[in-house]
Amino acid sequence: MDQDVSKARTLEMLALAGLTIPEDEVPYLVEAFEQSRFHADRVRSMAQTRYEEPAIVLRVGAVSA
Amino acid sequence: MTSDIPLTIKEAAEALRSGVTTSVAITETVLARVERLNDELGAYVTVTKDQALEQAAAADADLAAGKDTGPLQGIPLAIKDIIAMRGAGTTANSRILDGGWCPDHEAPVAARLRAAGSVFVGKSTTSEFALGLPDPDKGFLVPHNPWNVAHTPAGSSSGTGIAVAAGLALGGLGTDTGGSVRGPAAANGHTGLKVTFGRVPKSGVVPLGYSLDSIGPMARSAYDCALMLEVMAGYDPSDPNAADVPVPEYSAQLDGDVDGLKIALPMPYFFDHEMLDPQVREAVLAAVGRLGEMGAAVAETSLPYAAEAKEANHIILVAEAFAYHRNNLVSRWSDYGAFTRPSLARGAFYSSADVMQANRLRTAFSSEVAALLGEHDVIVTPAAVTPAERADTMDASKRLSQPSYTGHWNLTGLPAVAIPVGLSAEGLPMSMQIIGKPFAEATVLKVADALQRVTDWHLLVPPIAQPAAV
Repeated sequence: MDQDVSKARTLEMLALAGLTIPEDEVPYLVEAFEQSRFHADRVRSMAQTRYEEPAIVLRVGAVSA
Repeated sequence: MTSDIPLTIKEAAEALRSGVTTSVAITETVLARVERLNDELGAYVTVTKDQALEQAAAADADLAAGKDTGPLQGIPLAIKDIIAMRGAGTTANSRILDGGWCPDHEAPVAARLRAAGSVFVGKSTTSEFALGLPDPDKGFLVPHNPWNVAHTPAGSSSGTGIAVAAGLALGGLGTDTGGSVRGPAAANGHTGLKVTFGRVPKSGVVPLGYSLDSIGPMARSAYDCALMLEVMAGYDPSDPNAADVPVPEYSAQLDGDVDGLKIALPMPYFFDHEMLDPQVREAVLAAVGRLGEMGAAVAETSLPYAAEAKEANHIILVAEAFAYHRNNLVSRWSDYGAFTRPSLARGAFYSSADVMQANRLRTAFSSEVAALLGEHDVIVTPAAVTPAERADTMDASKRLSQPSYTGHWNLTGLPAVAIPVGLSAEGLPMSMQIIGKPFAEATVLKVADALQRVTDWHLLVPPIAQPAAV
């Protein structure tokens, strides 16, 4: 992804979350944003090869792993 | 001489009952060592000296009067400073909590240890909110590895890891969301157990990842972890995820017998990754070889989705952590440590769809693990890719680009114990991980204990903590 695009998207997502970041911390977060895209894409591409529903259940009082 | 007090909880419990020593004597020795080493090692945020000596005296008096509350009676323990403990405010190593979270409250797990007669040495250092790397500008001691202070003690249960290795406690509590009990146990050279999700009530603990968090015992030996877990485990209604499952007598099941036990070694990713230190690989395989000589059946196999499962654990962890911290991040960004705030902010980069896909992957991976554990009793992997890194080369982004062998078992909720299997050429501990079926803590501890009966890696004391050195 183009660096300027990455930076713009990073700041946009942080702003949507209500976060204002000091300028000197932005480069690290741009790197973190790019890494997050890699992680999410990797998980999505593999998850889509399967048909599992996420095992999210209402746990009432007890749970078995 | 490697220690002036019993090294293990088991030995100390025997010594207290035979009259060889007293809890006050052990506690005073531990406190003197804390006094000498804590500034250098950074194990404790708060030392509760007066409380510890009172508890020790009470334990001695009770034993003398014939009141025996079990093997933890009179044993000095470290409580990770993310767990509420009466008499000491919880900081989570963060300015955000202003040093005073729940000073008059006690987490059920701490209350159970207190009722068992344990001695609380203090609140041990954690990575900030169990996530960040140390930020020396925030006013907390920076934790150091007792085997080499230039190296990290790993996190997030850094302080308990240091304390056990250096004799600043005989055991303690850690919390584990992606490896925070097992990482410090591996880096500092002792045993650490991540329990089944729900096995130990986690109310009274500052959360990191709601669906991943667990509280686990850290001690020199698997046997000591079993003794601690017998007290820690069990249902409590204050934790909606606590499991109402009977608590077995774990220690009674540690008989050294692994004959016929089936061990799976998932080779791709866990043993064949190019970033795995060859020394670690060799040491873990040698330890597995010892178990094979003792009668265990070892099979090389594979486990699909291992790389993706590591990423899924990270996505879910930061999403859940961000949900907890978002308001404070908005209003008090700079009060968080320099390494914590960007780590938490990563949660803003994942969409709801990303988190849902991670949960789908979680289910798929859990199915694969269940299938593997349907054919084997335990899975064995290295606990860490390398021995403890140099602290000055630590970087969160770099770490996320490396393989990790611990978060998988938070994702699946399974019990996993890390035990030392040797020292590297640089003199740093190396560690093996044993993973079991849900609520099969007794099995993973039994395998660990069997190996510790024929090795002494878990009993090594770093030179800085040996009596002659202090």
